[in-house]
Amino acid sequence: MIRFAGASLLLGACCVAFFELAFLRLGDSLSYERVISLQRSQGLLYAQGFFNARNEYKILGAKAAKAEVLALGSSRVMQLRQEDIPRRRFYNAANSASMLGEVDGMAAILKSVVEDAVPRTVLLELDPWLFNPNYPSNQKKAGGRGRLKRLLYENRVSRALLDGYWSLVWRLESYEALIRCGRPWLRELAVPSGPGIGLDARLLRTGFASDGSFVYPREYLERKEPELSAEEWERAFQGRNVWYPETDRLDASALAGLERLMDLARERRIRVVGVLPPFRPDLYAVLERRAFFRSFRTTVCETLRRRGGECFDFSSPASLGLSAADFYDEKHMNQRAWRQIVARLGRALEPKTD
Amino acid sequence: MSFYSLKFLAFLSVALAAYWFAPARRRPALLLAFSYGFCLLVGGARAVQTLFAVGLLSYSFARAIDASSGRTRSAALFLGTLVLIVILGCFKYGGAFRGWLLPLGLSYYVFAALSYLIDVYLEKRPFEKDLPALLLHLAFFPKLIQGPIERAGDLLPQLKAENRFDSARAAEGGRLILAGLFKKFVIADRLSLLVAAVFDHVADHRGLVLLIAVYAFTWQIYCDFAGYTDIARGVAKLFGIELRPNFDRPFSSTSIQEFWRRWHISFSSWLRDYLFMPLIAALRDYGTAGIVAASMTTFAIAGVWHGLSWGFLVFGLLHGVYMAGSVLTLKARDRFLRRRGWDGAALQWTRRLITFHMVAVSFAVFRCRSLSDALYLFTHLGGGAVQSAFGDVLSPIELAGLAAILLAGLYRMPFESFRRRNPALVDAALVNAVIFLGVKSDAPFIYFKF
Repeated sequence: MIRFAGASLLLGACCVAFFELAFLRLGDSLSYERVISLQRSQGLLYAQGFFNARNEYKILGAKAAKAEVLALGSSRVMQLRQEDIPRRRFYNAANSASMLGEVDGMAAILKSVVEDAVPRTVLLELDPWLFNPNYPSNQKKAGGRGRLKRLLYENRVSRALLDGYWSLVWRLESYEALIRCGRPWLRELAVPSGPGIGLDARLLRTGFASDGSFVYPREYLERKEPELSAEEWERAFQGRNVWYPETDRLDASALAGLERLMDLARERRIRVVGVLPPFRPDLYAVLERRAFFRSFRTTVCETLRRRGGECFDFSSPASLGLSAADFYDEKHMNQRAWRQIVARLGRALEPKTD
Repeated sequence: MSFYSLKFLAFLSVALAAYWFAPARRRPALLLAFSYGFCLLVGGARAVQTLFAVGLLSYSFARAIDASSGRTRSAALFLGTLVLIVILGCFKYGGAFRGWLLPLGLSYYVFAALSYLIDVYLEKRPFEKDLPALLLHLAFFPKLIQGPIERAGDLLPQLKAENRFDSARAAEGGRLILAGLFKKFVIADRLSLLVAAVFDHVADHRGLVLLIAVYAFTWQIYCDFAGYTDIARGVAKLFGIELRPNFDRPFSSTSIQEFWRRWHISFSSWLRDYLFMPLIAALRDYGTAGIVAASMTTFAIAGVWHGLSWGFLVFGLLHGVYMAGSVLTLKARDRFLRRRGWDGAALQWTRRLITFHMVAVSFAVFRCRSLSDALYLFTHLGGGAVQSAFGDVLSPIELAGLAAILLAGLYRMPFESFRRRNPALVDAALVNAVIFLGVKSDAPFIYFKF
């Protein structure tokens, strides 16, 4: 038994060492502090091949940038760059929907950032699914498991145990991703094919830039997703519909989270500019007929204004004169479209004067 | 709750602790409670109701058989068999028409119940007066979902015996569980990535890719099912109970008869004892035609036991043809080989290869989503080079790993002797392979749905 335990531990340590050394050499497991420092000094892109950047990376980046204008939101705002807001120090603290943690995640980022560097203005990009009770993350939070999870996270010991467990699970999933990876990571271990931190940054020239914005790979920018007819959209909604499930109410917990975020901003005298970005014309034509989408637009804007913020509803692409050519897919706009939004926001991005 | 979930680990830990800390005479009752609890957690209330109903019916009919004689005894057996088959048929095939879900493990415990009734009728074993013991025989949770299909004569005495904890047996159980997890996660689930990519879109591929997918599925289904059986047997050993092995290196078989003695042994021996042999006896006057009819009937039933689809039926019929052909040509083949003086290892390997390919063909039909897919597959096996996205499905590391396992399988003897000399090292390697190289997904066992 002792020999078995010893051999298991030894072999396990060898396996872990192999994976961890590979991650380190590829830049995938560099500490966020080191990544931020390298990005600020050398302007490198950061995109891991086997992990997702967590909100901590964005928090550290925002603190280091001491941004005057801070963007919060999902991947839909990640194309907004410093060059689009040239007169103010800008940092894009948006993160992908899977890592962000919805409205509560945005509030948590802001709460951490203001400990060291209070931005003057927050550009708050809001998506309809964040307020949809049928969005899987909201469903999970509302279910029994979500309640149990919240309860366990209130206790320090159980929180540490849970965090440890999930870190282990995610690490093992990353090892699995390395095993399954068909890209030439073994070659990258020996000779990096280009500048960048992390496998994807090196191989695909993609990733987060030093201002927190995201540079998409060329293949993504060049692809052209076909527009769908209303019937095709309705059929798509009948299938696995994560983003646009129909419902007659907004998620109360998400709205409460938004109110908490607004309260924090008001307390720290931060100007909040809420933005509801546009959808591609074919999708918008379908969404605008749906009750939830209409309710989302009015309720969220009312909440923002009631709590001292502003709301710019650009959901309709026509309101910005955009066409399908301004979108990479049905919900992600190109940089030109974002520049138009910034132009329309105008003085709203200036700091609060009262 | 599957065998490889944390929930099952928690369930098993509680069950083991309760079982071994309880007084010996209370253990069967505890095991029965845990088995029904497992059935409830995995299959829901309806699965428990069906399991209990089958147990109660088996007890009642066995009692009627035991208490009667002559034609009444035969009538009781006939009625009992009919009722159990109707229950199985309604759920198994009614699902295709009415959308009923198959209660957990029904196909397996109904077969166990049928063999019990027939054994009582034939006086191979006495009627079991202890109802909870019979219920436990059918419901014992390690074998509930996918077998092995145990005979009452083997399992019932063990369940009723006052077991004592045996650390050597428990260690053996742990090793079996480890071997099962390795087969499932490291081999079967890894192969399933390639198999699904090809078999779910057969018409997108041709040539070597199809051929490799056929081999891959043959090994996938073996490792998946044998992996499950190892885990089931390992878990049973932790309770001090021996379940029969279901596989004995089936791909080393040199004939189809031998293959069925080594593949899904509990099911194939059930078919042999309770279907094939009675059929052969009934059709003995018809000579060769009787053998062919018995083979075809037995294997057709084996095929549709998996479900109501043409693929399963053709799988069964193919094996019926193989078996009948094998039996009928045995003497002629032996004469032919003797005349040419072919013998020895080369001949054995040739026979193994031929048998393996015959089996692989049948499993390809089994896996194809339709008969037209199967037809496409067998008409596009030629064509040479790898043309489709084979390289995109499995990474170089996965391919190298599978090749290493294949080599270890081929050079089994040196590996076995190494294992005997260094058991701790091999077990440690298996643990780490499962943790680091196992596929981390929730792929169910293939035979779960049957």
